[in-house]
Amino acid sequence: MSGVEGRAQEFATFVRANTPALLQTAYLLTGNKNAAEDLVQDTLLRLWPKWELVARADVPLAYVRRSLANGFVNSSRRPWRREVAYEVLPEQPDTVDPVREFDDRAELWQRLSQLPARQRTALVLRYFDDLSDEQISEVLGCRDATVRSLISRGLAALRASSAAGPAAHDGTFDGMGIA
Amino acid sequence: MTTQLERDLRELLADRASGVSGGLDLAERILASAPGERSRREIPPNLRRWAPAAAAAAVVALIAGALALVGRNDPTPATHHPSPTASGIVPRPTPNPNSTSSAPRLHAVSTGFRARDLTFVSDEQGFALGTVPCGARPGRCAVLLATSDGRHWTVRNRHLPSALARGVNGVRFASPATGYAYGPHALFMTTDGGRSWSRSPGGAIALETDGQTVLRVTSPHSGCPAWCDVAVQTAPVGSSTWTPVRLPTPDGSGTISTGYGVTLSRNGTDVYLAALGHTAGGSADASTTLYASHDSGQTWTRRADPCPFSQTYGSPRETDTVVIAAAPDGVLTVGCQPRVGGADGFVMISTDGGAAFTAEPGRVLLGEFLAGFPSTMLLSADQAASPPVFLSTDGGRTWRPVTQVTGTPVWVGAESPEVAHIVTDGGRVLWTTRDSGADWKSTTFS
Repeated sequence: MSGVEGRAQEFATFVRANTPALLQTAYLLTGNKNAAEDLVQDTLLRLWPKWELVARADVPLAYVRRSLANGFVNSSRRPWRREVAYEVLPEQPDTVDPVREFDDRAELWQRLSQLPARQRTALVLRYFDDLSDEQISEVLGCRDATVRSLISRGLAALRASSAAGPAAHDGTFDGMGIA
Repeated sequence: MTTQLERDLRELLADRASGVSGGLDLAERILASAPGERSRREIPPNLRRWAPAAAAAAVVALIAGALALVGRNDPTPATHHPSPTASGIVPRPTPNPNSTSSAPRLHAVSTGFRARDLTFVSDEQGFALGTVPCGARPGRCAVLLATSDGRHWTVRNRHLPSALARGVNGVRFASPATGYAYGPHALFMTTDGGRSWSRSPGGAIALETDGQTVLRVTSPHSGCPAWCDVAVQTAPVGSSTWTPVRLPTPDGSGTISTGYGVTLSRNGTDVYLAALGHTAGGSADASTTLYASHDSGQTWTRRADPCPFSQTYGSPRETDTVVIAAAPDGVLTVGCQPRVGGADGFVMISTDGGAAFTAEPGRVLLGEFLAGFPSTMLLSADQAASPPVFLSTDGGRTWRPVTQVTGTPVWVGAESPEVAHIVTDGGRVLWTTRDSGADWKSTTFS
């Protein structure tokens, strides 16, 4: 197999194997499915011409993930990107029973969306991708101490922006009946 | 030490990520566009020198070749095909102390999850309604799990409203977004894949959907000895407006006034409702009445008891309809169990929507569950039997025990002629076959 064929096949194999996971990370960063697809596509197509370089990296996925995260952080700085649409689906009107559901998970998602891009990226890489401080620092191009600071500040911001206490609607269940 | 916020954040991210699909489609689009990429971005100088037009064309061919060589591995989602599981009579699950120790642990989810009802919108996409320990609080909390590949389950909603948790025992999804959680006096609907729920009036003792319309069986009260004044309503999927449907009942009331219970089964526009006779006998009519609809429940025809006196045992013996299972193209399987004597039952198959039935010679102890498609895979399960699960691949002519599946079944469903699921061990273990019952793989919810 020639070098060109090999590179093409390596690229195709990598893309098929890793796009679903990259898309998940991108969605958690952007909060929007369309933006996530754009981010993943832009990242991989940007790296395709220099795939030989990517393939030679110790961990190609880390290389790609770094490019993805940087792409997101950089895009968040552009004025036309600052307005980010999040998929917060509206509750359906409750026409009969005025009992209103409280979903603290939706609120946490909303609070996460309001964090600065680098804090949000650090939290996603830590709590979804399970990367270490060192790995996150490689992705963000900063020191380990900076990573710890980003995570600490991000968590503090999530706590501070919580207006309510623990969920008022605990969904406690003490038995399911049968028909 | 991990804080509660960190745990919540981890679960939130996993949950949100689990709802992201289409990665494999995106991969193919990326590969398709890679060679033809116009330089929105500048082509690196080395590539310009290296890639004249001919070589660029070769790259196109190579990418296409790589596509063919590597091959697609993303499962093509089946047409939305809500699982035609039996509904209406939900048996009380029996805890089984012999849990399956060799089953690999399922991805994510909380420990201690026990499934109570499952629903699939395709062979692989589905939801599981169940409970988990509440932690420091007593009792169990209701949660909703979701899967996009039939193998890995993640938490879709672990904060179901308490009104929902207390009142429902069934779940059905018409699509990945729209679903229903129901109980005799509670009905909730979601249009965002289970993340939020709104309440509708009334409840349902049985509910089935074909993705376009939803049909529910209601009863305002129990007793007599089971459900009374059983009625049927239909609605478009996603709508809160239900339309009553009049059944052609013998007394002309349009509702089923009394009975042992009802069981509902649906496949597409074919819907069957069996009003079971009172098996204690006595002066009351102990026959089952079968109602059949072939237009999604708009109109109904009353049929005779599919399981009358049977001569197949050599002497007349009354048999009772105990389970029904609808399949495509007007095929209906009815399980007939002799009323006395503890003898094995048999199935009767109709290929004309319940107008006429043929008794099959195979004998099997029929219990709470019957599911599948007579031409490829019929599953019968009885919680009290050992082994509890039996399989027929010849339309009920012969049955063999499914020895791979261990534990007491609490849920059985067939999503297609090839794919079926069984939940055992109090809702902890999920068994799956993808080859019409020849082989079963197990995973644990917790």
